[in-house]
Amino acid sequence: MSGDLRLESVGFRYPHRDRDALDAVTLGVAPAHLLAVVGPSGSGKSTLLRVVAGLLRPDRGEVRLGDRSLLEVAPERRGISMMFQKPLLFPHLDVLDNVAFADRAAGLPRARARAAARGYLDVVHLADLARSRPRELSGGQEQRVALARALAARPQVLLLDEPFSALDPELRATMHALLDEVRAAFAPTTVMVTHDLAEAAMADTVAVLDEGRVVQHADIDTLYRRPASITVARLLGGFSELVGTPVEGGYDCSLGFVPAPSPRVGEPAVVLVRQELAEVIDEHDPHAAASGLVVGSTRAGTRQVAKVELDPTPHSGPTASVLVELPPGVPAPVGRRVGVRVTGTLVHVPSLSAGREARADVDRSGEGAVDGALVRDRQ
Amino acid sequence: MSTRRAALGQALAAVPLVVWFALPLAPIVLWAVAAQWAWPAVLPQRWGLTGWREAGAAGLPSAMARSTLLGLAVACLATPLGAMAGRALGWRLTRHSGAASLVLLAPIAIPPFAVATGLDTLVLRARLPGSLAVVLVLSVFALPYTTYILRAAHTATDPDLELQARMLGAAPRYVLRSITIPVLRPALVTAAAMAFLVGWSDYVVTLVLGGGRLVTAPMLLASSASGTGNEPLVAAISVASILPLLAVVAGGVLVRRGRRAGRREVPA
Repeated sequence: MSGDLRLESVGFRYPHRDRDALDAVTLGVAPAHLLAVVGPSGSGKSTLLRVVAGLLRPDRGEVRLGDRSLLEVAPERRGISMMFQKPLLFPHLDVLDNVAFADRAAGLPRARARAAARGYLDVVHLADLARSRPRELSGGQEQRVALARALAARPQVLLLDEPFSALDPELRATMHALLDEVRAAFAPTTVMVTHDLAEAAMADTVAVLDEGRVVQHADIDTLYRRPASITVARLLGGFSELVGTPVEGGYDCSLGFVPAPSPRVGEPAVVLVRQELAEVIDEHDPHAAASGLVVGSTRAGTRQVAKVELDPTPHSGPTASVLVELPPGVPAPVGRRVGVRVTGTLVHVPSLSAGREARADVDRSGEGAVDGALVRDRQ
Repeated sequence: MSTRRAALGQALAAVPLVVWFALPLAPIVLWAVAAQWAWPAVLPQRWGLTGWREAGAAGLPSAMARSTLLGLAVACLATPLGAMAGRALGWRLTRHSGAASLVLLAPIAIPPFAVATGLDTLVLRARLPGSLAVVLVLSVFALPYTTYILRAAHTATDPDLELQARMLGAAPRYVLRSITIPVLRPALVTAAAMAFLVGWSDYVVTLVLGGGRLVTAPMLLASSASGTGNEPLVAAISVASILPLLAVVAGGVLVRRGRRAGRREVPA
């Protein structure tokens, strides 16, 4: 049922626009894998899906499913189903006829199409709503019907354009679980556009789009640990940005020395630190890389993140601050002076002259080491 | 109890509406079945079908048939054209929707006599048959109504419904049959009814472009009404002229009932 989807150097520009919506996009999704596409608004995510679906024809490049080029294939013949942000159930048909639509379009008699549709309604646990009208359904039910309808087309590739974004968190979680079930049962190759990083974490790989370009394509773990650029890091969130001054063998920043090969003298860099890899400790603890004042905190569910304004150092900017994730249940010591410890082993250094990143993994698990830090040129 | 009260309230509110429509019709209905009705009698002194007999002799059946055909032809032409224009305007498929709206409105914004006379010259130069010219010109007159009804319908309909259907394997023609037309059905019926009535009730264009050879019900009515002492005849033609309107209203009600009953199926 699933297919190997490939985009090769795909470019697309909308009429009357002065820049490409997609620029040399090359991506691959293995059969039965789920690719999440994330990026800021206007980065080309939905355009990418529409190009794959055949609703937009690319100006350049190639879209392949297996060894077959899709460029000359009409959308309805591509073997691709798409779920839009809205459920888009056909209002004049009942739920069962909605799900039976693909089979009816393929020429199956109504009775047989409806019989087949019942099986897909079972998959999304809505068999008892078969005779309901779309207007009688809740938002979550509508999306489940839309998912059943997309599956009933037995697509090789399933495209999901932020289909769960309008649902409340509880329903979204239900839909995520359902999507997992569906993937296990039908194994379609899936491409999902999302703004929700938790949703993206369901995917086998995540592609980050920015201004129509793929700026990184990796698994979510790599994406968090080694964002390819500050843009990616900012999109993911949870990173602190510190000024890095090049010195012999690395960079100096507010959290101390960050080892890195070949720092370019005279060109400051940005050191990125993940919030969960920084730790609040006693100000006078010998393991503290820096000290400062907790100026605020934010809460997301059970997680609490403190913002620590670091004491100025000769290498820090005027307002160097770092985000530190606190253990669950620990109150943020707002207004108190604390020490900050950053642990770990990984440093990324961009090659400024080559314009591309050269990575170096530096194992410095001891005192003052910086974990999850990325050093690169300012953007 | 509250439902009963609401129903009663609705019924009471409908009374003035019914009176508003029925009051002007009452005298012509009475005249249509009157043989003699002299002033100041409240009701006719003698009843009879004189008016209907005279109307038959004057050619009412053939005039009704011509009017019906004219209305149908105009509806058949103006409805799909209005659907296309309404789609372009409602879904903003054109960048010049303001100019397009202005052009579409022009036939009803300019006095019909002026338009008809101007077009008559063009029709003569183009050597178009009179009946065809009448149909074409009346379609242009009906187009603003069909366009605006269908523009509103398209605005209220998500254009992605069609894309969704294609993403489920439906070819464009199947999408048209199984999604576009059923979803827009009420608006299409309303637009077609409007176009039909424009064609059915026209006098000016038929007179100017038809050159008096195309005798329709409104033309028969106008020529009869220009005489005196033939109130039963005029009343009979008038009552007959109301029948298409009633048929259109009944058709609309049936379509809505059918929609409510949800008997739609996906065509094979």
